[in-house]
This record gives sequence, structure tokens and C-alpha cells, in this order.
Amino acid sequence: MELPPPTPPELDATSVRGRAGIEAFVVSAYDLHHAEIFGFLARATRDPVLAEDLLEDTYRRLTEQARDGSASLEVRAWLYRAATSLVIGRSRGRSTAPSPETANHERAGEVELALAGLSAEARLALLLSGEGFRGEEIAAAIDRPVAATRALLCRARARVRVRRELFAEQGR
Amino acid sequence: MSIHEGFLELAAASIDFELDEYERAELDRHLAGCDECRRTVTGYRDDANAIAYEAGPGLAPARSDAILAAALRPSRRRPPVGLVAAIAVVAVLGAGLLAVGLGVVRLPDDPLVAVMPHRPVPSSIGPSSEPTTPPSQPAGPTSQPGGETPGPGVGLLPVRGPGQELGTSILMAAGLEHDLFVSIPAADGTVLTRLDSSGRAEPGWPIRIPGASPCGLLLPVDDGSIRAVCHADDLASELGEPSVRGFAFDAGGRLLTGWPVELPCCFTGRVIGDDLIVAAHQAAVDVVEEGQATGSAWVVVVAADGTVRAGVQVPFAQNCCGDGWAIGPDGVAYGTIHHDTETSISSELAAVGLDGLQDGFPVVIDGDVSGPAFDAAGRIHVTAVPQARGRAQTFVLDGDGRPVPTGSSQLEITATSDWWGAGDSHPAAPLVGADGTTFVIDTTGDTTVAGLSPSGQLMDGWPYRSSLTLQDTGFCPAGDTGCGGLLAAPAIGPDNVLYLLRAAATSAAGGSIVAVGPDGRVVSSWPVGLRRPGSEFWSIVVAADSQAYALAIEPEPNGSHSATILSISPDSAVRYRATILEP
Repeated sequence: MELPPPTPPELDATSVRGRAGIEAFVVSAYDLHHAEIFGFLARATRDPVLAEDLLEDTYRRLTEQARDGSASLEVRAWLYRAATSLVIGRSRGRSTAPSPETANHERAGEVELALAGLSAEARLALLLSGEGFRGEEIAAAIDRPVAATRALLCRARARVRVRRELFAEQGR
Repeated sequence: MSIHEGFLELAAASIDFELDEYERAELDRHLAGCDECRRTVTGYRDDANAIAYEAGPGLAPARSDAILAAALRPSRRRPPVGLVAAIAVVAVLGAGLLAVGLGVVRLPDDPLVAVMPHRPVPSSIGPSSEPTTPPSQPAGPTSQPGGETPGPGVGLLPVRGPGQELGTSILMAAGLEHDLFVSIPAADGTVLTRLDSSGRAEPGWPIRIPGASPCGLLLPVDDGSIRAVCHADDLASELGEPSVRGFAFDAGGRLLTGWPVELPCCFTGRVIGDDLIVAAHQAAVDVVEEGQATGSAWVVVVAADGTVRAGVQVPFAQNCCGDGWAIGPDGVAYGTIHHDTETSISSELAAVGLDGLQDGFPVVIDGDVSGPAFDAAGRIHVTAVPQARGRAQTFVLDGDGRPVPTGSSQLEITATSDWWGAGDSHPAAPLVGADGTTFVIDTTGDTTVAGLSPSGQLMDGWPYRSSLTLQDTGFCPAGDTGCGGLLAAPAIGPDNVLYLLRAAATSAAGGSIVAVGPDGRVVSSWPVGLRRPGSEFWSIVVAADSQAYALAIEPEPNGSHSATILSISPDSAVRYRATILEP
């Protein structure tokens, strides 16, 4: 029997001191969470190359936080917030469409296709929900009021439903 | 928006937000009468699940390493592989074997050697004023099986008896009100007292528990009451029969209604809230074949009203349980079972809760593994050595048996047993502070202590080294070759100050206690030493207010020994001395 992979035990950031301590803390956080954060970023941006850049930026921010002595006690939630913020920052003023070389609609699953037509914020909100975050946490991550986030999520779910029903009718 | 659309929005919102009672009721009522709406809501749930379970792409290992390195710049330094995170989990016989990288922690070139001159207490420890305030309230009339009733008494203290023979059975437990509970074995039972901050007995105390000697567990409860588990002389001790008894007394020394209770053996326990949780085990009565269960373990919960709930029994093949087991803050009994062969040793960490063996357990850990210790978050810390005197390493697991990457790499010291004398021994459990700060002790030769941060790193200023050995306790009659005892257990204060009880440096001096701060240095004005030659500190507890209580066993002119409690403040000032046992 293979044990399930370690999932998100929160790290203790209260005692992160000294260079070695900071590095150990970041390495721990990386080993624990980088795979899921990268998956989240790749789905949110639909661009794995961009996702790699944003993953590096996310953990650089964590390193800076640790050096400042302000590392969060809830590292996983903090990483998702930072990654979300980076995606939103990148998406502003840009098309959310992936570059031709990274878009691969043939390989994408119907769930990803259903998400593809949404705004970056709506996609992020649904992905954060899928990662287990509650509505209020999602609102904080995308930096929008709770009521607006609730409306955003409702619209997004309705659109995803319509698209998946369409895919089902088309036999996909 | 149609009325249906409004309810569908509400249904969508319910996935991410809590609906209030009114919204929930209205939604349920609408859905009950709208088939189409129910189908859509089912679709929403299906979508949410599909989004959650869709896996994102993976990252190539080479890219992953490069990204981490870039994120750590400008320091450009990574800890050795395996130092923190490389805990690989593989399957072995249905349990997890932790294979850990061999990161090396480099020790300071010139470690602090901290042997400080003894600072004698102001006067020689001698007979003290007897802490025997007459009881103001009599005990309740509740009787116990055995006929006699625990009750207060004048002149119970000091107990008369030989300190060396009884000293290891004296228990101390700090309360929350600057008070200290103490149990002392006596000829016809146990004397239990509660001392106030000046060392005098609180009103209602001391009390005598007839037919119960000695006690093996003394566990204060936040409401000021106390739970004690003691041998029950009148109970049968055949296999499977209860042989210990649990008592509960309120802050005034009165037996609580519903107590005492008969319990299966033994003395592994913890109080959570006002529940007493004890780990029980019994050996199989019949001869069994190799590989068959030779016994079973389970937990028992005793509520404040004396109601006893026994958990599901878990069969074990060998070496269960007793020493090396402890109850975690989650009420689960964790313990280590060792598998020795001629060429290797491996260990299994088991976890037994009310509902039996816990999911994720047992976890197999290569090497000789200590019993468990816990931090405030309930993570389980153990120390492992690959072979006798091999280099020690700590492992940390969560309550589901999954490795947490805050164990140490291999240390440059080993971890030794706290048992001296005949018989098998295994590494002592690490000392773990509330925040996960961990101490591993090596008593081969000098005393060396590795202090590890909550993330598993050797802390600056550590290891601490002393040429003085830890105090051994217990009493071996002349010619007893099967005898042994425990080294005096160190303690951690709430501020992660480590207290070590050390044997005397010379035959002309007594033992001492040293307090080592989180920086690895001896705290100013420590150590505290006993002046009388041949005197020894045998145990210590540290209260939440950092006040330490140490038990001194001292030779008396008649050739026997007395036992005295010293209350020692963090600045090493002795607040009181109370002699509780005189020969």
C-alpha cells in the first residue's frame, strides 16, 4: 500500500529565523505545495510557460515575506492568494487567450474547455473553490467584495453548466 | 430574472457560501417542487466536483529545481537534499517506511561547553516546616471498592519511609493556580496533597488514598480538580483483570461523584478537557503461534462523572505496549513497537483511538525508534537511530500518519535511552515544546543535547555539552543483577528553557539542575546545586508560569534518605522547600 502524498500540513512560520531557517521554510513550502500551485496556475492561465514564471514569482514573494519576518501562518492559503494576485496582475490589459503554441484545445478536457470562456477572475474563483476555499476566502484572494464574488461565482457556474450541457449534446 | 433563476443562483451560491436558515428553507421548498431546477442544481454540483478533481499539468523535475533555486536568490544556497523535505514514502508490508535523505547538520567548531560552578542554595536542605495545614473540609462519604474512603488527615506529611526506595514513585504535577499536586507512596496507601505557592497544603489537603500505592498518573484538570491512577492492592491482577483504579478529587480534596473507577492497566494517560484518557493493554491468555496476536491495546475514556467508555481493541503481534506509549492531544494512544532481527531493527508507530487502529497507521520507520512526543498542534515527534549509537534523526508525523517535513536530518549525536541497567533499551522520546522546538539527548560519555527549531534545524548555539552526566534514579539492592532505573527526566519550560538534572561532579558535592535557554547557553544564575554530598535531584516539573518544582533525595544521618520538593523560580531563586518524605 502506498500512502497518499502528504497534503497540506501547514508549516510553522512563527520561528523562521536566520538564512538557513528561511531557506528551510521556503524549501518545505515548495516541496509541499509547488505541484498544486503550478497546476492551479497552469489551469488559471492556460499557459504552462507563463505558469512557470508565476510559480517562481509566487515563491520569490514567499522568500521575501520570510526574510521580512512576516511569513504567514497559513502557508498554503497564502500561496494561493499570492498566485491569484499574480494571475490577475498579468491578465489586466491583456487577452486571457493562451499563446498559440501553448493552447492545445484538442488535448484539453471538457472541464477546461468549459472554463476557457470565462474571465480570468471567474476562472480563478472557480479553481479556488475547487481547491477547497470558501467564498469569503475567494473574495479576499481576488480582492473583490464578498457580494460581488458571490454574484461572480453564480454567473460562472451558470455559464459552465450551459457549456458542459452543450458539450454533452455534441457528444464530447 | 425568473423565480427559478433566483433559486438557481441561490443553489449556486450554496456551493461556496453558507446560506442562512431562511434562504436554505426557501431553496429546499422550491427544489422540492421543481424537477428542472433539481437537475440543474445536480449539474452545478457535478461541475464543482469536475473542476476540483481535474488535475493540472505537472512540472518537470529539472524545471522545478531551477524555479526553486531562482525563488531563493539572492542567497543562492539550498539546504542539503533531504534536510527538510525529502521524505519519501514507500510501501512496506502495508505501512509507510520513511526513507530519509542523509543531510548533515554541521556543528559549531567550538561548541559551548557549559559546566558552570555550582551555586549552592542559600542553606542546606533540611527538614522543612511541615506543609500540613489542617483540613477545613472533610472528604465526602463516597466509598471505594475496598471499603475505605479516601480522606484528609492531620499529620500525614511528611510520609515516613525510605527516600531512595520510594523516590521514583513520588509524582508531582503542576496545577494552573501556582499550585502543585504531589502523590507520595505510604505504607498503607498513597498520600496526595496540593501545595500552594508557599509550599503549604491547600485547605482540604493532604488526603490519604487507602490501598492505592503507588500512583502512576497524576493529571491536573483546568477546573482545579485532579485525576490520579494508582495501583489497587485489592484488585485481582490476573491477565485481563483490572488492577489499577482511577480517582478524581476536586480542588478541595473531595472525591468526585462517580469515582473511583476500576481501570485496565496501566499508567499511560492524559487529561483532555475533563476527560481522563488512558491506554490499556493486555496479553493473550493462551499460548500463541509466531505471527499471531499476542495481545491487544485499546483506549479508555473516563468522563468527569466517572462514566467509563472502552474503545475498540486492536490486536498486536509483539511487544505491545507499556513503555514507549503516550496519549496525544487528540486522545489517541501512540506507541512504538520494535522489530529486531540479527541484522536490522525497524519500528512501527501505531495509533489506537476509541474506534481502534487509526487510518494511516501503523507507520514503519527504519531503525530503533523512540516513543512519541507531541507539540501543541498534535504532531507526533519521534527520534530514530539506525543502530546502537548511530546518528539520531527526528521524524514528525501528522495525526493521519503522514510525514511532516519538519523532522531533522541526521544529527552528529546519537539518542540514548533513559533506562540504565539490565534489559532492552530504546532511544528516549525527544523533548518537544509546544511550538515543536525539540531536544535530543545523548548521554554516551558527556551529556550532549541537540536543540532543534520547529522546522527541524539545529538552532544557533546548540548542541549544549556538559561533562556532567544526567542523574540516575532508582535503587538497586546489593547483588540484584536484573535491576535498573531511569535517568532523571529533563523538562521543558513554557519558554523552551530546558532543565537537566545532573549527577554530582564529585563525591563531596550534591547533584544539580541546569537551565539551558533557547540560545543553547546556561541561563544566568543557574545551575542550582544541592550542598549535601550524596544528595540528588530525581525529578522536575515546570508549571505554565515557568516555576520549576524539583524533587531532591538526600541522605540523612540514620543512613536512609529523605525527599524534599524545591520550588525554583526562573531566576533560580528557591521559593520554598517542603520535605514530604522522611525516613
